[in-house]
Parts: sequence; structure tokens; C-alpha cells
Amino acid sequence: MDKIKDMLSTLKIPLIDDKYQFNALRSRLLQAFFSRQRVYVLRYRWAVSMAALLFLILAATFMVPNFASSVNTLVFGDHNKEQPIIAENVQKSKGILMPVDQGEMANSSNRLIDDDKTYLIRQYNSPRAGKVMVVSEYNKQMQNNKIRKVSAGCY
Amino acid sequence: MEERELVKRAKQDIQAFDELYRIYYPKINNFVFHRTYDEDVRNEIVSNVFYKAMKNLYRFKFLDSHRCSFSAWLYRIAVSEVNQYYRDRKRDFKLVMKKKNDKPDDPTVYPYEFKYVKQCLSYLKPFEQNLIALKYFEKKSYRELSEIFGKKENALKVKTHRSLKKLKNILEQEKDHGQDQRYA
Repeated sequence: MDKIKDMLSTLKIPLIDDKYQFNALRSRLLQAFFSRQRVYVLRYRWAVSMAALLFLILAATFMVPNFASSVNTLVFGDHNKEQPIIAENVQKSKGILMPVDQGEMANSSNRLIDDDKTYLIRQYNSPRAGKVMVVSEYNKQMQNNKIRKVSAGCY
Repeated sequence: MEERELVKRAKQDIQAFDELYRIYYPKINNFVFHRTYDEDVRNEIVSNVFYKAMKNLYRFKFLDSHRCSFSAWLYRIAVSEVNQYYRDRKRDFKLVMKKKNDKPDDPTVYPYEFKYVKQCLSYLKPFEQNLIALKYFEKKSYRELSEIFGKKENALKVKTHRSLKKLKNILEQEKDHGQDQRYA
């Protein structure tokens, strides 16, 4: 075993000195480094600009509360005006409340509608909410001057 | 400048990386030269080694410099690339070897030529080839080998002993075969 160890240790091992390949690879590595660096710089700039934009939006949301709504209106158009104000309250009260010239009511206007229940609509003036319309069931016997509110909306 | 500082700088500074390249290119180039047969293949593997080193240098950390130096890390990439090359071109390699074996060098001449030993070495397993190439051609110590292969020194000593035994048998077989051919 020692013989082969000696043989390998004393073996004349050829060495290679390829200057051309050394320089060629060196220049390719330099190019690759700078192209990689350029990509990193671009990514960095993109990330910073996105972060700045998001920060501005966040700041604007806090400083101008209507900002988000304005942007939404600008991008998607104004759909809120078409919706009736009382729609939310109608859903809450599980009743069907709509203008008589729209939806099923318009088609069934000729039909005889049975009298089911009587409701009272009262208007209140509120300093905060303005005029408030309160819809309540009508009972002949009002107890302690209390009414049961079914739905409410303001305009 | 200390190697550790140079590697740290090379993560961001191409000039520092260039310095490392100047130091290690001849070593890696020679190792790959001793493990391959074709110049184009050698150039390709060496290129891959340095590209990968540049790309993954940010991952390299001197957490435990006794366990893995930069040199060992680079050799590890080179070993991996050489193995990958032979895995990818297993069939082609066998054909090349067969072609080379058609006209073998005269094995009866002692001391053996490097080319002949390299040829016989190719009959060993890739790990054994790398081990012997690094130990005897690149003159690496067992400590350095343990860093490169991530194994204990004693385990590598045993592996080297077994690999040498195999190589010795192959050399003797080839020698007998050569003598038979001469007298035939």
C-alpha cells in the first residue's frame, strides 16, 4: 500500500495555466456581476417607489377621510346615487319597500292588493342626522305612548 | 488582506471577488483538469463553479471557519459540478472511455504516467475519484478534505485506504493485461 502511496505522491502531475480562459471567464463574470447588480438596483427602486406610493395613499386616507371614497368613485363611477337611501333599513326590517313605479309593484299595479297592516311614518328633526323618518307599526292601543319601530331612515 | 475580510467584501464588491478569482482560479482549474478529459468540458465546469460561487456568495458565512473555509466551499462546488457532469453524461462518458481504452498507454513502464493513472482512476466510484484527486493531485490535507466532503477525518482516511487498494488492484490488472497483449 505504501508503494502506491509513494507512486501517487511522486507522480508528475501536469498543471495547466490557461491565461486566455482565465481572462475570458473573468470578463464574463464581471459582466454578469454588473448585470445582476443592475437588476437589483431596478428591483430596489421599484420597491421604494411602491412603498412611497402606498405610504402616500395611507396618509391621504387618514388626512382626507373622503379620499378613498373619491378614488373609488373616480375609478368605478358613482353607483351610490342610484340606490335608494332606505334600502339598508328595508333589508333589516325584512320588509319589501320600493317605489310603486319600480320592480314588481309596477307590474302588479293592476292587481288588487290586500290590506294587511297599517304603518305610521313619523318625521323627526335631529340636529345630527337631519330629518329622520321612522316607520312604525300602527296599533290602535298604544301602550305608554311607545311605538314599535320597524325601520328608520334619514335624508 | 485576510481571506475572511476579502470574502466579506466580495459579497458586494466585484474587485474583492476578482481578487478571490485570481487566487482560486488556478487551483479549481487544475482540479477540474485532473478530473476531466476534455478542454471544453473543463472550461464549462470551471465557469459554472465561479458563476455559482458569485451567485451564492451571500449565503456563505464564516459561522464556523474551522469547519468550512472559503477554499473548501469552492472545492465543494467544483466536486458537485464534476459529479453532476458525469451523472448527466454517463453514457457519453462510457463511450469516451471505451474509445480511450482502445489504445492504452504502456502500463508496464514505471513510474506510471499521470495519464495512465487518471485512466485507471476512472474505474473507481466518483466519490473515490474525487477523494484521490484532491488528496494526491491537489495535495489536500485530511482536514481540508473533511471540510470539502463534510465527513470526519478518520472516515476519510479509511475511505482513502480502500480507494487506494482498489486503484492498486486496477493498476495491477491493467499491467498484467498490457503484458499479455505484448507477448500475444
